[in-house]
Amino acid sequence: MKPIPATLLGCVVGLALGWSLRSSGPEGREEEEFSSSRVLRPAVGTKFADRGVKGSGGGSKATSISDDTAPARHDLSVLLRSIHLHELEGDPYVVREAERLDTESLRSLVAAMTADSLLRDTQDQFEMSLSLKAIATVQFRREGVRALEWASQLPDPKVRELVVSQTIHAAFVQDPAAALSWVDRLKDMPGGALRYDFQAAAVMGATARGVDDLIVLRSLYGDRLHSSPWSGMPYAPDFDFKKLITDGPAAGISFSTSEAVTQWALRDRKAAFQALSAIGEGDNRRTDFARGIFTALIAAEGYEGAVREALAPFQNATGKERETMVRAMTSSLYENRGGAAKTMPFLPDADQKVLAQTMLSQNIDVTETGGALAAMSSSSVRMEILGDYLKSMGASFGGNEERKNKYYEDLMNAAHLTEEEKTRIRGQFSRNDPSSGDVREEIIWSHPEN
Amino acid sequence: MSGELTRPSDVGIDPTVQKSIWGFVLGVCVGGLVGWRSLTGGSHSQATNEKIQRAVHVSGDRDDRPVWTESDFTADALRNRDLYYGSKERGIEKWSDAELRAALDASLREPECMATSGSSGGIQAAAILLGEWMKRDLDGALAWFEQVKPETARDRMAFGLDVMWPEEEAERGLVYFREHPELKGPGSSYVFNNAALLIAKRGPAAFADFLEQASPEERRYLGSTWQESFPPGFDFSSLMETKTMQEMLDARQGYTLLRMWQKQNPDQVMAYLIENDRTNMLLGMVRSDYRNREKAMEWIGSKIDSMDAESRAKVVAQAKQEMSNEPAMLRNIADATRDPALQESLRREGLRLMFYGNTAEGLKFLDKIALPSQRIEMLEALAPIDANTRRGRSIQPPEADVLRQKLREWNADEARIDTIIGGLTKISQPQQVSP
Repeated sequence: MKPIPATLLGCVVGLALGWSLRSSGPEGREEEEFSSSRVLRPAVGTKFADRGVKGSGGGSKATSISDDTAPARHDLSVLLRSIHLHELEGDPYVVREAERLDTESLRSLVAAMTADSLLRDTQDQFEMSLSLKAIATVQFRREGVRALEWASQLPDPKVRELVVSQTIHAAFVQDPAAALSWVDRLKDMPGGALRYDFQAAAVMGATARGVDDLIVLRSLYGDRLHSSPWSGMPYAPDFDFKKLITDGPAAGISFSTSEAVTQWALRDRKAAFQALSAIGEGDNRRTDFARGIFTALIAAEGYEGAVREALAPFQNATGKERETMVRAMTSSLYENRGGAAKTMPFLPDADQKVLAQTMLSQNIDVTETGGALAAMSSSSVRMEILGDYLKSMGASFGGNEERKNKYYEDLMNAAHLTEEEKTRIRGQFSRNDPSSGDVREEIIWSHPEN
Repeated sequence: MSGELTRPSDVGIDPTVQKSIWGFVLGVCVGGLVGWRSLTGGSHSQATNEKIQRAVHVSGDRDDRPVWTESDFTADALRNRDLYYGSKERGIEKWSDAELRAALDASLREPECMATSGSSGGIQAAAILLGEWMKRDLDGALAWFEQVKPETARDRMAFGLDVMWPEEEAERGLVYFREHPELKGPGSSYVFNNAALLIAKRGPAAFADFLEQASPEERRYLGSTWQESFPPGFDFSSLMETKTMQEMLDARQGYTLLRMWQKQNPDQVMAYLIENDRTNMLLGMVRSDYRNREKAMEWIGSKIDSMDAESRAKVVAQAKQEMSNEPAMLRNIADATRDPALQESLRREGLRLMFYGNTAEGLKFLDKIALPSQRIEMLEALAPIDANTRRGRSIQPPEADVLRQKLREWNADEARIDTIIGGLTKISQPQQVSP
């Protein structure tokens, strides 16, 4: 055995050992878990995401969308995950590349990129800020609030503002408790440290982890938190909507009950229906639940299927109970252009009348309301409820006859009234004060079907 | 020998073997160190200093890939500039047709994709998938789209159809959407605007015909999605003479077209607007340039002295009128003009923003005044506003602190500072109006 080969052999063994130790050490784990999945992890047993100290681990073992060493999976869940990560942390590919740099290099990188971006136009600055968001994600994960300390001491005010805003965004997503300690320190930044996009980031991050994190978030920020979960955001896979609805208000989380019910019904329709049936008649929440469920049904089943499923449990219900469901449908239908008109043919006459009356009374959109009236199966019922409505409208529009007449004309056109029907209505209004009570009768009695 | 380390030779090991052992130990140390450093980013510190432009490379083997330099990060960020979000999704082009279709089918049942909001991740995902398929096989994607059930899912998907319709096929898209009016809500206009850009390449006459056929709603949203410039050399002057364009300008529409013209020939568009008694559209055109508003305002400022007296008066009057919403407009004019009287009057006007809760913007009107003493004098000369004015607001303590600090930097004494701040505080207590 000669000394030189032994040294070489040693080098090889040492190299392997070095890599092996490094890879199994804290930083190695960090690299393996660069999947950026810390925020988007199952809610079970989690508090807030780890503070980002090197090697703290804590990432889920979910397949990384940005991990090219894993077999490529091309399905919807992968794409959705990528989109969520873009929102929460910035482009996951940029996050991955940033994770390969050490802390000092990241700081130099940020300095160089901001110097560059300030020379560019607004759109370029915006694009650069998206990359800075990804880099800030890595910085905060590594250093926690030290990243904010560093950013807040950058000498150039414009650069400081840009970098601090990206870093506090990362803090709100990853560790709202740590971000809280900076809210007052950053109160002078444009829009304040609790500006809406930061709040939204905190809520989105918490919601992606689960309802418990959302409740903790609210307890941390109290009334200063105005943002709330919204439709289409990345909910944790096992998000407990029932808990949000039952415990959320007491915890101070403001949200739309009907939207939460919609999300719940999209995931567990049976449970949402059971919750609806457990609410007593006369309880205002019934309408919110019914509306939420119907919105989900429309999205999942279309209008015909939604009507069938929504009204099935009410076949033997009292008139009032059924009316509640039909009235609840109305606001769901406004969210779908032409939805009321498309739903009308699938409703029995009595329900058609309730739906049209509700739309007229809410007076939200002439085109939608008129479309719904046009789709009613009975023209005499249409003229009857129009008569009722116009009677009640006598004193509206603040006495502005021009506006009122225009509204009537628009409504009649949208309702596809025949020229004869329009003439009759116009005739009544030119002769009578609509509030006198004669209008409805005259319209109905002069209708050919009567 | 007690207390000394026992050497290999002392225990009877051959010296050659001893050398080998020491060599091996040395090798392990050196190799270990190298191995450790290679993964701790020893070369990273130089990474940000490298300005070598490299192609963005996301390879399969992480360890083999070069570390990104600052140039890589910057180039990657700017690559997004002209791409809609769907095109930004990396790797979508690697999906097979079957994978795209399977994912789209799955999206019809995915709760997140059923949100009604266009900004939701689920809606974006569906748009990205549909867009990639349309790029590969427009007819196949449309055939799939048309059989989507329920109809509410198809309505949701129509957003993606509009946004992601291949730009080069936009005219076909326009025909498609006009044949299916139920698919488009107000303002969804990507296909329309992309078609407009294609038609613009055929010249002003063709473009005018296109505008003639557009619905009032489409005209209103003309240009709302444009990120690119108009075809180079487009004859805007001829287009402006057409009846349709005149109607649009009369209706205060077509600002985007004016901006496109401004990009190509700023002097020409300004001359046109002034000559045709449309000076009031100048500021509207600038204001609508939300991407580069600041630069556009600087441009207006730089032109103010070249305008005839009447046009200049109109522009200044309008800038004053819009001062509270767009203070930068008036400031740029004030800073750019070489007419000392106009400059001073505009600065005095701008300073009055301080009476309306906008101390920071008001003070900016002093930025270009070299002499601190002159700045102080202007602040002292501020005529108070009516204490009962509806929109006036007293200066708030944090703003007063900032102002005090600035005045100290300008060497104002405390008495003068108090007088100035006192003048801005007077409106905090509205005066009682005598009966």
